Amino acid sequence: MKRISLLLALVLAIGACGEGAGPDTVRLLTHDFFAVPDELLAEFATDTGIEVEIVRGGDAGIVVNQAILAAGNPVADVLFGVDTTLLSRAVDANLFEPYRSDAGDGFIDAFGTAGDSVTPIDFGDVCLNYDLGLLPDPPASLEALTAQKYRSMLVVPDPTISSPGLAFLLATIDRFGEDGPYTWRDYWADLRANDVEIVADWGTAYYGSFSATGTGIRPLVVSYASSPPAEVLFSDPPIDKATTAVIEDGCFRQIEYAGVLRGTPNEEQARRFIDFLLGVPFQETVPTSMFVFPVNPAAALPEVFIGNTSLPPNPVRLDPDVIEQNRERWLTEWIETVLR
Amino acid sequence: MTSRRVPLLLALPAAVLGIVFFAWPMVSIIATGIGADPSRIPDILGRDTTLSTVWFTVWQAIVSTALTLAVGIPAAYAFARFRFPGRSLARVVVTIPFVLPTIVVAIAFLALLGPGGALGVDLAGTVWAILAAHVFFNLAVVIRTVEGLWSHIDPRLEEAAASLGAPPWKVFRTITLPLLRPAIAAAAAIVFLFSFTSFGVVLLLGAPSLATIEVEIYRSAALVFDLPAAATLALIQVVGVTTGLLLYARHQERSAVGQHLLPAAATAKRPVGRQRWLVAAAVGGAVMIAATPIGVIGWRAVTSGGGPGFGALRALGAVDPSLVDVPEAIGNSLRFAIIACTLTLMVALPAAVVISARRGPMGRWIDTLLMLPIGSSAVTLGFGFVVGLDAPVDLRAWWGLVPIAHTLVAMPFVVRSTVPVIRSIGPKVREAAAVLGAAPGRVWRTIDLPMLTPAAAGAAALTFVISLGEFGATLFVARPGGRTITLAIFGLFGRPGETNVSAALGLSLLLVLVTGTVVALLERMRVPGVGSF
Amino acid sequence: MLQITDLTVRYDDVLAVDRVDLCLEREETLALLGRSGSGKTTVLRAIAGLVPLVSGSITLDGSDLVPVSAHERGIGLVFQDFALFPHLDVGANVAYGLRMQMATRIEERVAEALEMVGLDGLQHRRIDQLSGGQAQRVALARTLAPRPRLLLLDEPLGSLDPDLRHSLAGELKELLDQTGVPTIMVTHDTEEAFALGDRVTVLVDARIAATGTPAQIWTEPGSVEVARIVGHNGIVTAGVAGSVASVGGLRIPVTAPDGTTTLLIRPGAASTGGPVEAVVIESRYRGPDWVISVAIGGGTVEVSSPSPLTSGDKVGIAIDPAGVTTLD
Repeated sequence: MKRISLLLALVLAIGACGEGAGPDTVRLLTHDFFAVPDELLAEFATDTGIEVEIVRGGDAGIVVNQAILAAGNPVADVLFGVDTTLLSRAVDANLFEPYRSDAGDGFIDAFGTAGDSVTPIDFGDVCLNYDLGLLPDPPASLEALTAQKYRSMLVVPDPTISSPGLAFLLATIDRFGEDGPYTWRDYWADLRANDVEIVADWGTAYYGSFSATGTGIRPLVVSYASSPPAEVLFSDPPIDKATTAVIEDGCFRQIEYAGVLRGTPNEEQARRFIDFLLGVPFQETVPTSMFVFPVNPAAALPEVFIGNTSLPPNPVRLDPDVIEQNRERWLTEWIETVLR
Repeated sequence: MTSRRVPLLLALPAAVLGIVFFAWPMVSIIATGIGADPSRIPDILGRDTTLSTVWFTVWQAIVSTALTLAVGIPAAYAFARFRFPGRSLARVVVTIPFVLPTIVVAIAFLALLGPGGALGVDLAGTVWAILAAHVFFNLAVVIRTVEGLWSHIDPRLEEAAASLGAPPWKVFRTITLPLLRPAIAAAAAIVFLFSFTSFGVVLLLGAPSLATIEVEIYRSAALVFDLPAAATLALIQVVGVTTGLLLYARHQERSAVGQHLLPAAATAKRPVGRQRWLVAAAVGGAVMIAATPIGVIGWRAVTSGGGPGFGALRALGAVDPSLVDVPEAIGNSLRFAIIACTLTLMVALPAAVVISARRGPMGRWIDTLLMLPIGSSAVTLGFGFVVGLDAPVDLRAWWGLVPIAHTLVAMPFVVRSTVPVIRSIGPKVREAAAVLGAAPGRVWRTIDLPMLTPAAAGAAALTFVISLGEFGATLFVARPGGRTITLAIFGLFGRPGETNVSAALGLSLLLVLVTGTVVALLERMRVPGVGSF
Repeated sequence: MLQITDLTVRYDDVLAVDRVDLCLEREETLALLGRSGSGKTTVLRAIAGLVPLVSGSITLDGSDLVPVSAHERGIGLVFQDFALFPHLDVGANVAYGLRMQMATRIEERVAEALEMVGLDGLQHRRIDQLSGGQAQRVALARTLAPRPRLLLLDEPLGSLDPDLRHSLAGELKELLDQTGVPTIMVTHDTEEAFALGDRVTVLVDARIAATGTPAQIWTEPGSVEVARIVGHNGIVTAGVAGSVASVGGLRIPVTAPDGTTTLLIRPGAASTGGPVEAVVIESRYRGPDWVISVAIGGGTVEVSSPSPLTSGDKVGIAIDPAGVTTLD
């Protein structure tokens, strides 16, 4: 008996570090790619007396859908990681308690706040990347990808599973449209005829099939505008210049939002945390921790970002409502066009 | 052990765990999903994609199972019947894949069979890559389970058949195979379940047109958020898995043969003549299948990051803790693994005691029920936790969900490997102790407990490595307090930058080394029965 | 018909059978007698083709068996513990060899075989529902049904209860006579070997120590080891001078050189009331009379007596020289 109680005590002791969300704790529900330096959370705790507990649950789609299943009786207090493609669904599910942070005055409206339901935190562009070594003469536009010259060169993550894949599909839909002599479906049929490779997720495309960073032979990949600086930042041994570059045409802008979850008992703490996410200290970490750009113009960009990427001048922006209304149909049509 | 002396109550913790953390969430989410729009079910069932997905799921699972049996059974024969140099090491090597996380398996196979892969053929996106990965992943289940029984079968039965005029292949078909049937069926059932519900391997290695039901559930649940479709597919999967398990249980009941089993040491001998080639081919083939992908991880881990050296290990140290906190991930994994071990001892072991006391159909049914969690959709279960565990106590983001999920995943393996050991404690030993004046409680403490200790240690070690390598269930549970090692690998592999992928390989290598060490220790300790699932 | 020459078998580093020669005549039963570990089972396994030979030849009816694999030898082997197939019923066990021969009329022949061993109608009985004696008979029926050229029995009665052994030994003898199949049986039990064997071969430490009819082995075991295996107790040491051995005042003519020799005094050769002085060791009641162990010539001899004697007392005994033989 003594041994069993000892065991129980041990289990409780080991488990105790994960315990409870008290009044001075804010729970952040987010996806697996959210990152924040511990020092910043410690500062936040010192300044406000609020401890942050991070609850993760898979990728962005899974997390938002988990939150929708628990709408009104949330698992956490704040949700971070709703992107452009998921926003309308989350707002329609009445997931959020409206909040307009003073910390965002002057710049958040440019990104859209869905009637103050959510607060934009960062943005990034899904763009074609290419291998500087293998492709001295990259395609200048989306249209060029169907040329014989770029046959068997492009790899795209599956838009029905991968978020950057979906972003790329949306960019092509925006460019070629649904009606007219040459629709987005015609474009994809041409891509297919030009031997586009579809793989499950971004990692498989980037580390598997892409020639510059993976073991593969394809010099064109759907990735992010921030991927080249990431290559410089995380190279071993260090390099000065990326071996990959971004094609500025056909980029899709994804904005990531945070919101106070409706039904939280800690509304005040949740609001303070959203203020924190908009603050310069956190905003300055997002380029190197999540490879996205800060929404707060006061946040300085790191040197490596300035040298190796630029913000594409005219990224595709689609209204979240339009995406929500058409996504299922578009994906079904895409499957019919590309996979069958 | 008579059933009267073992109270059913001992199985209560396992039953509670299974009902609260598996059955109830599954029922809740399926009910919610289907209830949201029941009129869509016929439409979803009738879709071409649904039909082709179900068909692909079933046939690839059958082929994966058949291939795994084809490779595993000869190796099981060699391990069961022969003593040869390097036997322990070979058994360790073939066991490691089983406890590797699917993401690592997928990375290894991409490096091997993918574009520009080490084997020079690009099989990524073909069913071959999926089948190969399934064989690699499940080989240990077949080898250890079948070997477990084979090593105890009296070789004189085969000799008797030979002396009655049966040539070797007929001896195998008419004597050995029927006697092995319970073990082969058990192994096949588990391999089928794993392949049927395969997610990471199919997602990452297959083409988008090659989707299992589980991948379709993920598609419906993640970006499209078609909950009725996800729930309907999950229901198809549960019904399929349950039907399979019921058929399996019935088969086990019918094919149960009371045979006289010998100690394994009495049946193994040195291979002579032609047998040497046979053993070398069977073991060599299995070891190669298991070791090549592991070797690729090791090779890439060592050579990545600019030339030979321990680039990956350097990279591990270089990962910015604010992105992926590697020490924290290792700490979390160890913490969850220790808790899962403790839970296993407190929950699965008593259940094993109850099952071993019931030799009849009852024990077999409980044993079969325990397999349901490993044959169920992890995405669905993750959603099920959110829907089902909010009241009376809100457990939806409770830290304990992860180790509990790991315990449920490890349970069937723990039960299967400990039941034979518990059964082997003869009633005579207990009677002798009783005659010598020990009260029943004391008999348990002085006889059963010490004899159970090796089995318990084995069960704990098995849970430990399963917990370390668990990926699917962990990913889809809302978990506070950071990542585990497998999720850190997933996180690192999902970010651009060479050091990140190096660090992912380094962590994979670390996982291989840790699990290899634990399996080797088990092998050294010669814990009886462990690993025969 | 069976001729074995220079048979040698090795298990790992242990010599299990060392240069053994055996022959077996048509319709003969040979009993291989020996202690456990003496190599007798290995001889059977070698004949059946279940172990590889280091050297030696085995011919059956003039043809060489060594290159023939086990399943083509046509030799029946009944294992110790019988090795019945647990997943098959009685009928299927008995039919197994017939199926392998692609025989016709299998059901009929199974019925005949079961009838022969007195188990008519038990075709559908499960193996785990058989008693020990029934299992032994099923094993015999299974082995005899395909009509083997040679029958090998490994401890055929060894795992049965003592009373069952007696009755089954008789039945077995009858069965072997009736079928006329040449048989080699292995046993550690002298009584069984003598009851069933036309001839007996004794194995000691992997080699043949004696061969002969039961009576020859009993009366002239030839060596101390064989005498002990056969169950003799009266083994004594005697001095020899001029072809006469002397022990405790007893003088027996022998054909041995001067010095010492070992004598076997067979049971019944010694009786009380004679000139030879001996010391009583113990008395044991055997039935109508008492068996008295007495010490003589460094050994023990048993005599019968109508009444018990006190241990330590001296007693005079007589020994019939006809019941004495020398041992190596």
